[in-house]
Amino acid sequence: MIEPDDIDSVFVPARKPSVTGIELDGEMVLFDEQHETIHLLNHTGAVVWQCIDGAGAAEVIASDLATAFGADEATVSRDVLALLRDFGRKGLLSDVRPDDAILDEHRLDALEAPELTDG
Amino acid sequence: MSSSRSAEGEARTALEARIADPVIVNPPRFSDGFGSAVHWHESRRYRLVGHDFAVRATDPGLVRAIDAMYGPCADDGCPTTWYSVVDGFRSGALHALYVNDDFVIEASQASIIFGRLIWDINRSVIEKSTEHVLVHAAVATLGQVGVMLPAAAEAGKSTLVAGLVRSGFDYLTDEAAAIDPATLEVVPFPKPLSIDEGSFDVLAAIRPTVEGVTAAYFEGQWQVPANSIRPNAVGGPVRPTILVFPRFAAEQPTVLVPMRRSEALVELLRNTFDFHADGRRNFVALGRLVAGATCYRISGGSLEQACARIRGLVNALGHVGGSDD
Repeated sequence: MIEPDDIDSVFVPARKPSVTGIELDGEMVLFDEQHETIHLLNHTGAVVWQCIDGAGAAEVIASDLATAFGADEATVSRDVLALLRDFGRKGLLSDVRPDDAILDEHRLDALEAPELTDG
Repeated sequence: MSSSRSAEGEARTALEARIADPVIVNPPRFSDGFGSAVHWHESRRYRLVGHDFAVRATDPGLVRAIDAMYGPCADDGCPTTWYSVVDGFRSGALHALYVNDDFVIEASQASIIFGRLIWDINRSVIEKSTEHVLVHAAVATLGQVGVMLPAAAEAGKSTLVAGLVRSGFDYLTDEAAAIDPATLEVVPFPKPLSIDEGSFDVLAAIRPTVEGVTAAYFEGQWQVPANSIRPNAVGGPVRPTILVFPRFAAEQPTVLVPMRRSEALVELLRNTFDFHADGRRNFVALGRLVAGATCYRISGGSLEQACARIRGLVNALGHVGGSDD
């Protein structure tokens, strides 16, 4: 188990099996059954999430994306690392220690579960 | 089912004598004498999604009102749950509610007992409908198009769906959308529409008529059967393809804005009853539902304008024709 900030370019990210994702118009909503959390990823986050296959290192993901989008590889590498660390803090990656405070913010229970209306 | 006034009076006296006994500290169980102590009036049996119940009461007017409220869900046979509403409890000035054999609540105001009865019926529907994904939402249909209105309490769901039904939509629920996770169809939960005091003026035309002493049960909130708003107003199962998240904003103009599907899914998850009981199933089902829908937010203070906007959405998406008449 490593800390999110220790994720570097040779780290091989793997999605946690407890996480289910749904793509909607290029964005993604993720549900982590283990921590009972919900996460909304923007377009960039969704693309990086979909590149995680448990085999390619962070630098490979960055290189592939830079090629695919015709972008500067150093910039893409920095963004990919930032996103992977963010995924790690949110408890979405195997073998990365989540940040409990961030988990609490994303629990559905913290998002005002419905109460039955009177009547 | 009705008895003569004198027989009813004798029964009431017997009940009062029994429950006014000062040595009784805890309320008696229902089977502990109530069943034969008074003359009961019984409703029909109702099957509401997963809940199977009937109501008995000492007030025949209340039973008539219950039969009108839950009429679309009537069934034959014996229910698994009996609600018993007792007038003249303890000193004679109280009302009480039992569920099967268990005492639930006593109160001097009949409306408190009735509110608890309705709440318990709704809660039981939600607790027992484990095969469905249950979202805090109203649902109506027009020309086979399902419109879901998910929102927290006090957002105006019941008022808005009442307005839609009045304008020609069919009614499925004003409280909980019971979604089949395989077909994504909403199963009708056609409870009476619960209309709060704040909407009495704008919905004055659908005010239910309740007779005599029974009116005390309905103080502060109307329970309006959909079929009293418009005959045959209860619709069949439908997969919603339009999601509109309402928010009542008094005296504000009506604003309808598109909503990102991802944002709509998160809002739906927030409004799902007991989400974590089967989180993955609920997540996947609601994700599929949102993927096949268009999503909006609506806010404002005009019921008429909100209904017209929603009808316009249905028409603009090419689902049905028709006017706002």
